[in-house]
Amino acid sequence: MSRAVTAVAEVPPVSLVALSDRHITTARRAGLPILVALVLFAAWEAIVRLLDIPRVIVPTPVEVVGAIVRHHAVLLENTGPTILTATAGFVIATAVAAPLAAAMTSFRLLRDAVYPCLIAFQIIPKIALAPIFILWFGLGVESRLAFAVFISFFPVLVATGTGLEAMERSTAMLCRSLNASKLRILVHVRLPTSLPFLLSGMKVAMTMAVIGTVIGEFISSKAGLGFLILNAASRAETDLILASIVVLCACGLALYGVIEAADRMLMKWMNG
Amino acid sequence: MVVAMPVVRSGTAPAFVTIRDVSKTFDVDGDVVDAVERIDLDIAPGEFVTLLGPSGCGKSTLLMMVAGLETPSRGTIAIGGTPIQAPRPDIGIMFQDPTLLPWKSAIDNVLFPFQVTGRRTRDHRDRATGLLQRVGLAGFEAKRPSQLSGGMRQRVALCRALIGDPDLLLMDEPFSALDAITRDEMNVILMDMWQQFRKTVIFVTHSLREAVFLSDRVVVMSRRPGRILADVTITLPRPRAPSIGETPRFNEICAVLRQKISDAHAGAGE
Repeated sequence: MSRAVTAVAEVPPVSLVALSDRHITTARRAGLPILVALVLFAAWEAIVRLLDIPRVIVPTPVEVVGAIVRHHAVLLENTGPTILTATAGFVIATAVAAPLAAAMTSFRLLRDAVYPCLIAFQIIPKIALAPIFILWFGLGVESRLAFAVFISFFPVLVATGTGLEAMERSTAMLCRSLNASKLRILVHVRLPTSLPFLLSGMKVAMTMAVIGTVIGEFISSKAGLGFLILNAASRAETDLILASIVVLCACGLALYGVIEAADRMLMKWMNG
Repeated sequence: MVVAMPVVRSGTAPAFVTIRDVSKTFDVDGDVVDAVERIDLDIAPGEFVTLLGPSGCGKSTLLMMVAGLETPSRGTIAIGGTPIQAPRPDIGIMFQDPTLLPWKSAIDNVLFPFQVTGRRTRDHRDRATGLLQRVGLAGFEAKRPSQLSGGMRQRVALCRALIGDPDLLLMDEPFSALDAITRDEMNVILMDMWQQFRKTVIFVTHSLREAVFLSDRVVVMSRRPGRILADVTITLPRPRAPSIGETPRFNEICAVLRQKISDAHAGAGE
């Protein structure tokens, strides 16, 4: 024990050089992409102006920002339904897929019977099925929700399934040597082991849920950012289309950020 | 109190672990691989026996069969007179990897055998704390594995193997992933624990010096298929301090053992 204490004391103090190096690294990691984006936007602005491209075809970044400010009320009004549908779809997908993965891990028969079917189903280009969802669930929010669930379901299922099988060989042998029951191994080892996998599946699923919602809104909707994009397109308001896409990106990023934050908290809690 | 006396191996004391004519073959992609061949071994209660051999000589396979995690292809293994059919709760196991759960604190990892078998961990907390103290980890109970060094993790794993008060401790190269200095430390800690608890231990290693330092008896195994080449009783007095490794007697025993290994290999035409 005293050895450990000395070991801590022997760690050299963090030198100023190392500290400033780290700051430079952070600045570079955050700064470089921002710089590249700014350069791209400036080039875009310049090219559109210099070549005098019609604004209906390509509005400049400055005009897109202007459109966001001008249309902020209608943008805000249509953001709600999209976020709500996407989030609900994501939650339902996770709530169904994660337990299904656990059941499939626990019961080989279920897994052998169901998993190949699910994979085959997964191969179907899901967007092609969207019109059928309208037929089944009508023109209301149900069909959009169903589609969001459908499209974000598989990432969670596959990731959780992988995570539940990720138990180390020696841990499995330890559990077997203790004559632990399958259920207890699932609860005490497999489930905690699978959590990071579940979270990475959830990150993909969240993004997919937003995509699914927008596709649903394209096909049938009277509100939502997808609806707004289509509506603006019919009136050739290209700046509003791009403004909607910017808001959509921001929403997707925010929702993703929530899961990412949860993931980081979980990792911190799990690894101490 | 510890009596510094080599364990007498004669027909008088009934063996605790009996391995009779045990062979194990694996089917690897249609090829039959002989892992161990016709092993006969008796281990007395409280005896510290080391299986020494090169990597892949089947010594781990033999250990896993004693643990009930592998089934012999032929022959029988009995513990306390009962043939092994399945893993038994009165056996503690340690692997090369500490196999700690990263989300559990040191003490919760020690208590894991109770938790995963649905027994109350509360009643055993004091015992777990005592064990951790004993291996020099007092004050580290709440630390996660990521906050512990490699040697500390293996010490937690040792406590976990001992928490159920097993009659038999099986150790599968538990220190071979550690650096030489930490390894020596671990050997001293293990000796200290063994002097106190006097469990029967079967220890697997490919380090000759580690085997001599720890054991009452060193069983040398050949390359695959693993057979017993030599069974040498180590008559060094106990308790043994690390400095015993510098004594002529220790080095003599090592030399004899090394000679037996090379003789056997020469005799087997290798």
